[in-house]
Amino acid sequence: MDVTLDGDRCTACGAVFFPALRWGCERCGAAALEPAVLDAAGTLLTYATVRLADPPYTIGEIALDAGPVVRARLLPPDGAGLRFDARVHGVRTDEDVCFAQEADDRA
Amino acid sequence: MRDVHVVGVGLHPYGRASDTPYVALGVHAVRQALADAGLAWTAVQAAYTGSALLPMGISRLMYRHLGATGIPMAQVENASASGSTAVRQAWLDIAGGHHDVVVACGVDKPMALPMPREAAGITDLVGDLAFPAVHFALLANRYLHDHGLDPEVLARVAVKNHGNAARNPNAQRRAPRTLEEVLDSGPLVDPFTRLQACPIGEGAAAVILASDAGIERLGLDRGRAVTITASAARSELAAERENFDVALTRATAAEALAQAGLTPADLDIVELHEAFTIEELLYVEALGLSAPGAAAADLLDGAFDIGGRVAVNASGGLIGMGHPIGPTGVGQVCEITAQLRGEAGDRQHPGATRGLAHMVGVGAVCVAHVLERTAA
Repeated sequence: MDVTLDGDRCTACGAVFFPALRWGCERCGAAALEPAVLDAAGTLLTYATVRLADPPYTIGEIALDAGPVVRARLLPPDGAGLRFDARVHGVRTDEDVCFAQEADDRA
Repeated sequence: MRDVHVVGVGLHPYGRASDTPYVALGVHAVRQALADAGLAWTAVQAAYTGSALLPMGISRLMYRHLGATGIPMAQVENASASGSTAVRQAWLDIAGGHHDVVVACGVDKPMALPMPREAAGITDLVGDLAFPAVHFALLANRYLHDHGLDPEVLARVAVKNHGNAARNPNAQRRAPRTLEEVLDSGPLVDPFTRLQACPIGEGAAAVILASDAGIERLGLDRGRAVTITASAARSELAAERENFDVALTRATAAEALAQAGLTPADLDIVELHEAFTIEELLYVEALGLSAPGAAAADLLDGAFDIGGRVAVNASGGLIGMGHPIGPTGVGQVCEITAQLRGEAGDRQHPGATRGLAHMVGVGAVCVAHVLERTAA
């Protein structure tokens, strides 16, 4: 099953947010936002591997197809084989959502 | 608006957190600034205290040791830009004609590192996993990728700034570092090593600002006064794809330079927020000191060295001098003032007449000041 993220959408200007903004739209100031379920799929803008941590983990910045730019853990945790601008999608691991490169976008 | 001048500067050296109360740090810096200006505390009409990591209500507990004069005082919190914002409040106060002599003192100790996003009820996918080094590593990796650069160029920023700090008696890190030492200083977040990140310790910095009327009435030395010819502050716009740190700095610096009637090429000395090495490359481009993508080449050419085209972080910057948060933005104004007066000793940038101080703070906010030696 495809992984989704619970964001929200401004009822006035249509801007989409993740995490949900709830109390008012950053773009236009309207108070009314409605829940929006976003596909956890997009493009990998950049990533960084945290070597301080044992074991290391990798955080990525992903431009979701739905609009928002989100940060998430990436697989594999050591960042091996990740490429800038690759297609990535959400993967549910335990409690969290991570992102991984799509098969035909692996190096 | 009235002209505003820096008439006195003072610092308590930055260092690792110790048992010394913040009061001792702040009083030291303010007394030094008063002595530098040739002023008595009784001449100061208002006080702003820049601090982000201390509790509320710290101002009077500190200033009372100079003699309780009953002046208005307030604590200014604006993340890493707290000190810069305290300077701006003092500037607004004098420019607006409310007072003639005002002190801005940045003082801090790492007593608390709060998580504002958590307090704002934001639950994202990464939480504390994306700490500040991660944020800037994300920017760094994309920048290196886009410009086809080796991560070694980032270490060169650290070599320059550690070298400058070695010549600054108020710096937290006094050891010059070779490229190898920076690269081998221990892992952090790729592409940074430990010596490519700022230390967060303790310290204090104070500046006394005055109007022309104040200078005249108190008989201060006009020849050592440095004029604040612009003060600009902005906050982040609604999220776009573009790197907001760069966009925010570009807009704030442009506003400051326009206010001063200067172009980037007019600047001799720039103190900017490089909590991590990548920021120096990003911001010299955002400030217009380098063409887009040219910062690394300019750095390697020595353009940002003391004695280069424009000295960037001659104090040692956040990486070398340190980043005790509240003092940092005030300390930048102290450094630029010393440089424009020709009193920066071993790290004097020859012919420095115009400078810009820049800080960003998480949130995000940005504050910039332009200082010029205008006195005859």
